[in-house]
Amino acid sequence: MVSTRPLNFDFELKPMGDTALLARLRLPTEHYSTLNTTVRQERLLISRRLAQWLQQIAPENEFVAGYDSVLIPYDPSKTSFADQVEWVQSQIAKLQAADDKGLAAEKSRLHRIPVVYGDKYGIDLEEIASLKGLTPQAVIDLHSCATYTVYLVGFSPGFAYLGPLPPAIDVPRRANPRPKVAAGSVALAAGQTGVYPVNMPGGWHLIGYTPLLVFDVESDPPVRFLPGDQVQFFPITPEQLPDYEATRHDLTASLSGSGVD
Amino acid sequence: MLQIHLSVLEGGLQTTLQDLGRTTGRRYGIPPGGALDRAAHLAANRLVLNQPQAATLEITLQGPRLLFETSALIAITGADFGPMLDGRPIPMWLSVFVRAGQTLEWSGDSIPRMVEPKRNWGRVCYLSLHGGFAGPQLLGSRATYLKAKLSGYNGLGRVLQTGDTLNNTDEVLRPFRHLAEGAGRTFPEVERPAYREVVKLGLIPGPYEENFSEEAYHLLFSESFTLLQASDRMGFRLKGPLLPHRSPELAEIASCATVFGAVQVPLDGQPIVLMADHQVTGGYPITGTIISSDLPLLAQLLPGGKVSFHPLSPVNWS
Repeated sequence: MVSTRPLNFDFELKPMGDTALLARLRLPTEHYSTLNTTVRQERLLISRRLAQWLQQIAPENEFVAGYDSVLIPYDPSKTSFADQVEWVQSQIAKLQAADDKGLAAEKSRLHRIPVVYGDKYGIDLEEIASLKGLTPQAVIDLHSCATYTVYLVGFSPGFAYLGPLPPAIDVPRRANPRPKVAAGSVALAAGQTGVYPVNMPGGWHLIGYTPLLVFDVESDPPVRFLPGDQVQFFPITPEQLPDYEATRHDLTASLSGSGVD
Repeated sequence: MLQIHLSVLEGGLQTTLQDLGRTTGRRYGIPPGGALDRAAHLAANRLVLNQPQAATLEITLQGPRLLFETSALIAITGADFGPMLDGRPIPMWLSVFVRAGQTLEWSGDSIPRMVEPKRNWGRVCYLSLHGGFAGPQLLGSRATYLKAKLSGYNGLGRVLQTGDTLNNTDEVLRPFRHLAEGAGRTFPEVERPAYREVVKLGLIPGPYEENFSEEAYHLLFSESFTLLQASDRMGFRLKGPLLPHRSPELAEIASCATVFGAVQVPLDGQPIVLMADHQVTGGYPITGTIISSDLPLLAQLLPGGKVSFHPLSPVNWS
């Protein structure tokens, strides 16, 4: 996961209106869709590294990494486009000059998330198993043995895109999204997995349910998963659900070492 | 601290607390949000000597009926829905002293204005209250995010309803000994946005120009687009000539974080302008972004309104 080679990347700076720049990693091919998983992971890592770097230099602003880009908002009444471009270019140069110690030292947090798989808690589990020629238990094993990285938080508040999903259980999105998916549903589709933060429409396949909240407006920060975090799921029985009720609002209780599991 | 209270007799069509939004929520999946028409929101606050970030009421098409339980200093800006105090019209873009017991109502929604060109016309107006509307803050903002039911009135993330009560904060720029001293301030006409049904908006091309054909940019800058009914605080949908991508594959990108005003074009070739409550990341290529000072003109458009674009360079612009 962590690159040990010297950083070699090529961002081009593009305007996104008069209030932001988008630093885009140059594509080696015409379509992002042709890049393999390893290359995509590296591009995501580099994007996140630039966002973190800028965040440290200018903590009052917010820099947001996408899959291969970083949004760099600025206030046009205080900074000109040219000055902003120059500042970002100089920071990119500094980041490139720094060796990859920062990247290698990126110490990610690891969450351990309890999941009741199957039955009414994950109504699509059987279907995925039959689609992939597996037993439901094999799907559970594969899903809960992997360690996922938070790629992005988006779509809706607290929704973290986690990947990569083991190819053996990868399926496309549902043809017809459901109008309502319950908060806490653990789902997968298109190479990724995630937890629905609130009741909302959803097109992913539902395989389980976690009693832990992933979004809580009373907490600071209000989300359990932050970009770059690592996430593992582990199976529990329905009878164990009450064990997690007391700490479900504690968005840091799932961090390994915090004694929840 | 001066306590001002209002009772909501009727909520109106879609009345929400809004401000300038939040600048640190994208990393959590929370969009910037805030007033659709920033210019009108800022003007309303300036008229009653509030901070720019003070919460105002964003009123959509049909206004709420509000009973002032105490006296207050207010201003109304943006679209003209015919505000009245106890049945008597009050001017827009003016700070107005309201006596305890008076009721704010509206002579009509904005639809009749379309056939009455002398009056202002639009989608939203802003009601400011000296002191700003109170409410819990999320990431430094009281802006209502309806889709996720976040923030806004009592932190409930919803529109105002009958029976709600509103009051003020003490975050003012200059306290008055008596509120009536603040009445009669007017917002200069030349500084107000030139709202109309046909708008020409400045657009800075990029950041995904290479995903589009040359013809797409030719059409974008020469043709006119119509605002569709399916437009809300998340996005405004436009209908016009099909804007072709260079290939169908280029109608999707690896998701990037986005801003208010970005113009996405999915495979169907019809533009969607991301508005205040836009999703924080998007997987459609962004052909260009409307400059922030022109967004109020778009925000006020009603379905059927016409939009055209002219290209701007980011260098010359800033």
